[in-house]
Amino acid sequence: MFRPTEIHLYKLYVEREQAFHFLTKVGQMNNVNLVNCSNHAFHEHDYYKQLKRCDDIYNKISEVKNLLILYNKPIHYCPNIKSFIQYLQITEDQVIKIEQELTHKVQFIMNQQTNLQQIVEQRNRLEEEIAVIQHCKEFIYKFSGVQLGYIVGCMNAADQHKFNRIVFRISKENGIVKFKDFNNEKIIFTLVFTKGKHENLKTKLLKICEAFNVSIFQLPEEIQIETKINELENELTNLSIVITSTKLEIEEQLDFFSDISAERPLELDEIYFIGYCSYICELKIIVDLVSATYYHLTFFEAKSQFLIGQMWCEPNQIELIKQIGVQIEIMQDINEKLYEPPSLLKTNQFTYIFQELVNTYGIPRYHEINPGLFTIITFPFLFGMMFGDIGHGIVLTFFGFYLLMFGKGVIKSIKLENSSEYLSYADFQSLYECRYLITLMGMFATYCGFIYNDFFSISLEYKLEKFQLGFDGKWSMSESHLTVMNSFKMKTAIIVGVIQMVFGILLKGWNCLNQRKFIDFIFNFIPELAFMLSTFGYMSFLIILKWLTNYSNNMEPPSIITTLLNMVFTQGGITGAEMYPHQVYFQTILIRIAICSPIIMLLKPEVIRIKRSLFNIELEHAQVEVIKEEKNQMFGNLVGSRAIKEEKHFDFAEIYIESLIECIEFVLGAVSNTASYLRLWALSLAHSQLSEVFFKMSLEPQLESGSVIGICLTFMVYALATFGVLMCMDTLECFLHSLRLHWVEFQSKFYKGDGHNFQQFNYLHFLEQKFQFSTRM
Amino acid sequence: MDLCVFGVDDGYAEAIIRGLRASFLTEAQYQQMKNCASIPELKSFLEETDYQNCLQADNPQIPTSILRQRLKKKLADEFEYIEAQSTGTLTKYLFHLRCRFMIDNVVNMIEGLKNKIDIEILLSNIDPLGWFPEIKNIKVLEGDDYSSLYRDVLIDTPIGVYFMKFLEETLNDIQNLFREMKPEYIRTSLKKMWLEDFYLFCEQELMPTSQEALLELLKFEADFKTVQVIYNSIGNRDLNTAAKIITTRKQLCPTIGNLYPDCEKLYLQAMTLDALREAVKGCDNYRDLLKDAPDPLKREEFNVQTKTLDDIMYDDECRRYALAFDGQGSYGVFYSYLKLKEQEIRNIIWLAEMISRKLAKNHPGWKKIIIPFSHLGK
Repeated sequence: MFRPTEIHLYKLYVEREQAFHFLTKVGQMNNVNLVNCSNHAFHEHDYYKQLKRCDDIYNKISEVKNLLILYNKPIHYCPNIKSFIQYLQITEDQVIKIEQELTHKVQFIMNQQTNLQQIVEQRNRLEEEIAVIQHCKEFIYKFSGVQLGYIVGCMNAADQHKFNRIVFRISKENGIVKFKDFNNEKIIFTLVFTKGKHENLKTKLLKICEAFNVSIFQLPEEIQIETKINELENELTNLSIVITSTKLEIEEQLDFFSDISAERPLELDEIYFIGYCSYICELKIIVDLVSATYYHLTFFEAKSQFLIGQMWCEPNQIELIKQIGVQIEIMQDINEKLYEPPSLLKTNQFTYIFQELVNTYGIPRYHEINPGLFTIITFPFLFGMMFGDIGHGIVLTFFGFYLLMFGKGVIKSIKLENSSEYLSYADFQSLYECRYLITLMGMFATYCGFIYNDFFSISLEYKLEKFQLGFDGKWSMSESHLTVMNSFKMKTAIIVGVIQMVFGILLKGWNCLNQRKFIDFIFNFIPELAFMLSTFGYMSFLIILKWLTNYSNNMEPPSIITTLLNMVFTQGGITGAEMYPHQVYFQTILIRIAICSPIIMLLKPEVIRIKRSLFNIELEHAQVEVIKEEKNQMFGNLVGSRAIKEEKHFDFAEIYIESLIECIEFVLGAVSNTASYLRLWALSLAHSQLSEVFFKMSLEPQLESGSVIGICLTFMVYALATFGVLMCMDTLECFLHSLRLHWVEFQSKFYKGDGHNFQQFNYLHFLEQKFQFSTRM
Repeated sequence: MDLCVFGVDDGYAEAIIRGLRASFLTEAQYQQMKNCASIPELKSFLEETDYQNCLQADNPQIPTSILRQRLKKKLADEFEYIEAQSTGTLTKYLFHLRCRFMIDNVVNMIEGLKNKIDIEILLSNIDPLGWFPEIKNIKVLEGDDYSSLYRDVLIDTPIGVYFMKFLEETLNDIQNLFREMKPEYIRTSLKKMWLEDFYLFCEQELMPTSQEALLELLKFEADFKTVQVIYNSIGNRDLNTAAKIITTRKQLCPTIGNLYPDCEKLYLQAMTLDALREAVKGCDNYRDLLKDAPDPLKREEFNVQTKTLDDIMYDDECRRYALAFDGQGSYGVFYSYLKLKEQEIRNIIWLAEMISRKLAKNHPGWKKIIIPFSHLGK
């Protein structure tokens, strides 16, 4: 974890027939990164058609899923993908089989479904007709003989007013429409108009009806009306029988997709352990994996019956790949140097979250030291300094323990719940991933609480045998308690800050040596280290010295600020007594070093220039152009992507300006970053003051008065305030600030963080990423 | 001031539009499209772009007319969604935008009916952007009974107002009017009225930032309309007398824009392309535009390669519309988005035509597409 794992670029030659099988095996291995080296546009690739086929299967699956939801069938999602795919064998034949099976079944179900819809529509029409006849039989026959025509029927309720208006217009006020509600969507209307005046009024009105998509019904003779109704009702019952039987048939088919395929009823644990799920979900996962495989096959370049691909992986994995049993040819790529390798950071469940904190800022470069390793300790420690309180720390630790012990169970139960939304899972999952971080944060907060001697804002008095841990409890009685605490916290903040920054600079030196950048080592690392140590390092030294000296013998203790100011303005001079022998001598040297180091940094571009002229780099420059040219030919569309190393373009003006900025930034940064570490003190002060206020304002007066009801009531207020403000808000705040101290103050000293991530081709990884924030299946 | 409150009602709609802005095809994508050898290939290419979902159900050998219909449907769906998310003035504004398409649809319907084309075919060819439920009622039309068509049906449609104004202005017998007049004439004058109405709406109801962007765009559109009308009427055989030309022009030219009223007298009487150039020389921009336009008197000699006045104007418009996306808090983006997407669809259809005709790759027609936002890179 100290550096990204060593990997190499390999060239693969796979036979076309075996390529799919090969990739399914690779998909179950860890840490293989396939590189896209296809020259074709994506949609022109040989495997594009296969991908399209997978899309078609997807569509069918989602059709089935919609039907399952429509018919209220349970869908059992896969609770444990890991064990489900462990023994999964995917072959290309299987895909064809799934495709045929699905096409066949979906076709059948869809046919049934359309049939059903037609019948239902028919039934609705019958119902409407019956309703219309029932409605009209009372009055419509009275019109016979009069010069009136009528149209009766059923239409969408929403069109009511428009219809009314247009009828009024077209019939020139000779027509009238009456409506009667039938159900929510449909409405029965009776349109009556005078015959005779306009010859074609009826045809016109019928056209309008057609335009409004209404169903018009013909009324039978008055005498036949009862028989007609009976006839219709008989038909209706027949249709209802057909509908129920069709529905049953469809449901039977759907059960096949919704059921878990197992011979006997299963226990919940068993379901979780083996990863049982509905047949439809099984299909979905398989198709997911197949399309992922085909997608990665499009990375290969096709040459006659061979597929040529490239991949990054660890050298020791080559043996494993060779053992797959497929005829492949693997060799280390000679053009490896042209690429910037991706950074493979192997993590376990403990280090994972700390690495994530770093990755959120930037992925380490391939050759770079990974700050994630140090973050494991420094992050919780800085958090603890701000959150220092024994009580709060213990509560946080217990929460971490809870996640450690019961988190897995909670996740399991969420997964076994059959809801299609994965949201609650995603929420808890991200908390669960933080479990080690939270535990460590809690423990360090407790430790710092002991140092500050702060237990829910109360100082503890206890006696340890040989030594005293932290502040004496008696300090809390003293009037100057706050002043002493502030002075102590402020100074520790500075010391911790300087130590962390110096460590960061040392890492930079290590990086330079490792990458053989000796110019950077001499002209960046050494002056930076010298500057930091001679100014703020010396300040820390003075602070510790002052702590160790006993000033009780009536000697005025020297002010550190004044000492430092004098040192800067008088080139090392002091006022008052010396803190240690030869102080002036030392300080004179230190201030000279501090002034010289930025000047050395400014020499860097000049040195580069001399080096280039000495070693005749112009020639090299021409070579770079040639290599670039070659690269363009070899990789075509890939050039310009991040994966390929950019050749540095030399422009001296740029280098001068760059190093000038670097120098200024470092000097100013050293001052402002040190000041920035004072947030350790500020947040710790805020935390302790807040907890003191909550305690003093609510619980303390009641405790003194001794009333039980009062204590109970105010305890509620106190507990809520402590939970909400301190345990939730302040935790987040302190987390945020220690994150900032790591990202800005620490990492800016050595960390470039512009590498690119290792994109591993792994089935489990792929599925988990896919499901993390989306619906399941 | 209005920048502070713009987001309250219209922020979401604007955000959607700015998101949709990313869906425009890039120059590289056009290049790839040009390289497609057949319609199925073009279709499979489009399926990798934002047009993915609207083409999935069709078979690969998609006819151009259906392709256009699908692309337009997608645009209409997007627009409908934005309309559903809008409130107050923005809803009214978006409705105004759609009126243009409604006018097209109605005029197309009437024209089709006149030529005895089956109404179902007409309905299926309707532009989805200008669809409104009452359009189906045009079915009522019987024989040549246009007066009742207007009285019974058109008056109820959202664009009834324009028809009413149109009829009032012409003061003719409606029956003859519809029977005799060219649909192009009806369309142009309706659109003129729409444009003026829209301009008025923008001037009166929109907030200053939107006004600033929109009025400018609308002025240019009006000017282009004017230039087009004059240009197309030069040497037009149907208008034989000079007096008739001038009255027709007067009826068809919008009464807004940079050219009106200063240059009105001049351009109404311009009988040759040079005279038109002279008339509009007050505006730098138009002079340049007309410089490259082919002479309308030699209309018979035009072929596919000719860069017509329309092409030149589209090119210029596209640049202006793309600029509207630079402004914040203005309704201009909705207008521009619609226009630019129309241009994109026109491009795709044009390329599809070229591909289906299997023209050689060095044919000048391939260059005849205007890529939205392409000038930004230069």
